[in-house]
Amino acid sequence: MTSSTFLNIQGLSVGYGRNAVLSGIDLELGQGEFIALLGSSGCGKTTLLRTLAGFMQPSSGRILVAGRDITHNPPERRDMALVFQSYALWPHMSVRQNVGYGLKVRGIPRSVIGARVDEVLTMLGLDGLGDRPVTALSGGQRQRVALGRALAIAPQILLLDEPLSNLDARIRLTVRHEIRSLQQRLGITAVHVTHDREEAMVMADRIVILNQGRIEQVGSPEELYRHPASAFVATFLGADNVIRLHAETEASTLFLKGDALAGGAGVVPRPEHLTGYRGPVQAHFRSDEAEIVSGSSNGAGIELLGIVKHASYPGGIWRHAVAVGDEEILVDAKNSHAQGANVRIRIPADALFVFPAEAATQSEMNELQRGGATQAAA
Amino acid sequence: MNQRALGPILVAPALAMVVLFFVYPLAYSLISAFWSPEGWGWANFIKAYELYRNDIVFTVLIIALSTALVGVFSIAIGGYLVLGENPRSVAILKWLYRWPLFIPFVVAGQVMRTFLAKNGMLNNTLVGLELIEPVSAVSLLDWRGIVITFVWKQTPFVALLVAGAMASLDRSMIEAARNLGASRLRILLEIIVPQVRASLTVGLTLSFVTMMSVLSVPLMINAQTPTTITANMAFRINSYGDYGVANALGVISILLTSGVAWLYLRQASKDKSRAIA
Repeated sequence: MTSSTFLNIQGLSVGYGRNAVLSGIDLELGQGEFIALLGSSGCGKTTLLRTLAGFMQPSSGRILVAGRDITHNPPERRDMALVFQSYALWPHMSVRQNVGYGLKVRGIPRSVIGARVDEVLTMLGLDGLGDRPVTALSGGQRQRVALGRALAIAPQILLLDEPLSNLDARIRLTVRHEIRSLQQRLGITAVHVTHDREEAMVMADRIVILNQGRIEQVGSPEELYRHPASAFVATFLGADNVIRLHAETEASTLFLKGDALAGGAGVVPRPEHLTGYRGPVQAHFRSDEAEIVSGSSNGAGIELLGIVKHASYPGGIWRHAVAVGDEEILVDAKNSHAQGANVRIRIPADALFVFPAEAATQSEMNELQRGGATQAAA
Repeated sequence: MNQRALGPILVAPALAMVVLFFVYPLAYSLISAFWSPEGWGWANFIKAYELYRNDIVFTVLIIALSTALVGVFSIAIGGYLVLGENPRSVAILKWLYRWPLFIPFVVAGQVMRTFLAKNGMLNNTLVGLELIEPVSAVSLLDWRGIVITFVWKQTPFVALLVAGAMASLDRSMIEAARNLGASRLRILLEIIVPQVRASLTVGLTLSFVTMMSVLSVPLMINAQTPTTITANMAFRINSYGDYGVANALGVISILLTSGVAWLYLRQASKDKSRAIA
């Protein structure tokens, strides 16, 4: 544990009965840090949040806050405030009563509660709505009340369970920034669960990508975007165009071969994780980072040959579905290319993420890491 | 045959049943309450008041007390089913609490006679456990026995309604309160009960009306005065053939239950207007 670690999750495993949902989660958060737990449905991100809040008990592992073990503390003794996806506002109470409830429970004098609630309502732009029943509020206002209720008790840690998923797209963009700036202003440590990649990217200091109950990668939004550690992370962060190739490495160079490549071959700098690797690979890239070019060009990268199957205009750019060998990829371009046109697609080396093909097993990877490169059939 | 004629013909048998077996006897009893050998007037009501005013007060008090206790126990049972953390205890309670629902009042009365008598099972157990001396054992076969029987019999019914309403609440509302530091008792009283108030009021209103109409329990448990209005009505008819006073007592019972129904309707309309707001 580093000296700046505030929330420390050590080897946390959680399950429902015999079904393990989370396995061996290790994570450290600094004070005032905003972390996003990102993953698809069923990856265990909400389970992790609920375990932090105390609503689920881990089968093994520990949770420490400022060095204090709170693993077995009940939810009411964790000093963490959770904002629920459904907001979970109490319909029989007014806005003011909802926001002040946590303070009332703590036995704080009524006058102090009143002042604090006013302060929170002002901070969230809910002035004048204090005496309204929560049932009379809009979705965005309810979301703010839920946030205000959590912030009123000045918790050590703020837990956010997809709090924006019930808002319409326009309001969501505004509230995203509001929550982030509020968190920074208050210096509160926050854990935010979301399945929305862009939401995680714009809000979080660091993103934790979860897959099937395990952490795939932790890093800053840019780090994850530019250097995904696995095919899953690359796909999840938008690099979902996949071309299957064969790879060979030599020193710091990666030689790629495949029928889809212009000239049948390409050369890019070798990523760290493919040291000594030889065998089938899958190359991932984003549609907006590939470029349709008229002739061969200089610079590190690969070029693919394909035929335009379809072009559509989602706004700003043209999106082309291009058949490359047996596979189909999406490529964005400023100008449209006619259906059936032969095109050359260039992918810069820094936009290409190459991983051993998924058929290559974990044991093969382990052997590679031990230095005994396995000869994998192409 | 055209559609306009078909409607009344189809509804006629059901309507005839309602009029014949519900509206007619009720109206007949109501009207008979105002008829005595001296003619039309308040004579039956005056006689009922003079003879049975203590019993009327007794009835209202023990049924109000029973209703309040039924409410308390139903909230406790529903609350434990929703907030209990020991799955085994919750499962046992869920299985046990509904049993009295399937036992008729007359059987419940008989069960309580053997349980609450001076030499009944309750006192024998207390003496056996050396909690009381045999000489200090007292019979509970009086107003206390009626209250215990009513509460025993009616709690499962109200608990069933209340527990169902509690279980259908969004679980995250309970978790939100826990997350903010509320104890389970606080959550029950401040978060859950206010949200199931409508179901609780329906259950308690129906229980009040049911208990007002029970004859077997007071007859079996409380063979003394004061007793309940139902026992007085049975006595007027069986001993004197005095349908006039019995009907007057019936009208008084209806007025009492109507009062409770009015309170319920007022609450329901308040909740409705709040929901619309």
